[in-house]
Amino acid sequence: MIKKRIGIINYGMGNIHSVYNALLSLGIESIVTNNKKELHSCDAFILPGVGAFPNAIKNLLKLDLVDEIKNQVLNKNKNILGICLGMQLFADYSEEGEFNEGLSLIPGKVIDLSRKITYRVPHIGWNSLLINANSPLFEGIPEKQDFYFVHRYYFDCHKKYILANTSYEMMVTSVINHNNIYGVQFHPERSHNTGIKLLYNFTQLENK
Amino acid sequence: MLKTRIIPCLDVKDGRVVKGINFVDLVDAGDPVEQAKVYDKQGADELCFLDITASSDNRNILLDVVRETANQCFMPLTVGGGVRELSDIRNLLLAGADKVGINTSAITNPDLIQDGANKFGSQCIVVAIDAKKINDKWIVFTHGGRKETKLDAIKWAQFVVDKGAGELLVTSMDRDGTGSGFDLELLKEITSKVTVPVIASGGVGTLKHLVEGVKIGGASAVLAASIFHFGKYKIKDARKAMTDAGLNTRL
Repeated sequence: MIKKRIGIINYGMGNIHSVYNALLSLGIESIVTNNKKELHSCDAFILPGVGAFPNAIKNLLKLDLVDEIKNQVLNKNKNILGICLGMQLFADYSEEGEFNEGLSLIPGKVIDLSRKITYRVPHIGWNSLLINANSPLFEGIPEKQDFYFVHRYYFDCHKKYILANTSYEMMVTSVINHNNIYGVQFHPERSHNTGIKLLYNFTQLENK
Repeated sequence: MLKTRIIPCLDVKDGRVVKGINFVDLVDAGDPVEQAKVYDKQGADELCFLDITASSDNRNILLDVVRETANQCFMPLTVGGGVRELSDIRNLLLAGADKVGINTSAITNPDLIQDGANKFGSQCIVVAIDAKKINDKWIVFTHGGRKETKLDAIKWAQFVVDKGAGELLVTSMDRDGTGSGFDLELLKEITSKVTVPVIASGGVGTLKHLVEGVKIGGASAVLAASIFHFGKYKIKDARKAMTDAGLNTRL
């Protein structure tokens, strides 16, 4: 196992300790922080998130973390994994609430599912991945494994960034990747062993 | 394809799991943290943790117990009981809840639903509705089933969804703890009128009841307590019964 120092970015949204606990169960050291000095000392980052987009981006700005995250990811090429809302924050903008700009780490926009489908929204529950492209993120994870989703908005982007989709009346983006930036719409930290395995795979990715 | 969820529910009173009949006559069913571990091992699709006397005791939910329970499981956790303000929702999410259930305060302060959805996203706001049939109408009860309101449960369900609830947890007080099956008419009425997922609750005594909640009631998830707590069935038994009936469940 490659031992990396994982920084879980704490920006006041929920669910942070679930991610910390999941990593702990793997014997992986992580720190929950919004301190820039501490972030500097990390090898890779997780941007978790349960919450609403407008509030999340406001918190990141207030904590002066937007430029810092971009610096770590774009200039220092450290890996980052966005989970659920964390992944949606990578987009150019979101239509949740009022119009809000995102981090623009992966070209795309965040759209309300209920505008696109007639199925029940939010999309809540266990659903499987339809893998588009191989990635070390999926190592040891058989196709059609279920992960836990709980979201109303989805990431709309070019298919070249989509590693996996999930079928819910339409193809909903569930795993994205662009260079060293990864995002998952589901909650691996809440998806039993398969989810924990995916988190482990992320911590083992080589820095590009 | 989305799977039907099977959700064991921990009704917690004074830090212990309890189970009653028609919301009273509570029997001790163990330590919540230990029970959570058992259900995590069994592969439950989600766990529901309800502090059932927080509102009637006029106190806040037991955050430590929630935190400890959340630490022990790698499955989603919905927590409810005594949620009155935005700060209560925030504290529960920070303690490890993935969704927060609101019941009594949804009625005393409906803005809490809207404000909660705006701040934390509607996906994590679950409105719990405890309903009892009185003169051919389902009436909403609050304070853990202790106080009758004048609200029609079907109309109330539509109202809270308009306010921003992302999911409904619908419990039939008539059926709760009786083992005689869900109130399928109540479920049908609500699931046909709202567009968010509905969790069916109250009355499960056999595995067939779980199937009916989905096939007849139109629920997206089924919640049960007694049949799991006292070891009558395991999660995998429920899953098999549902798969055999043609429903999609996790393997």
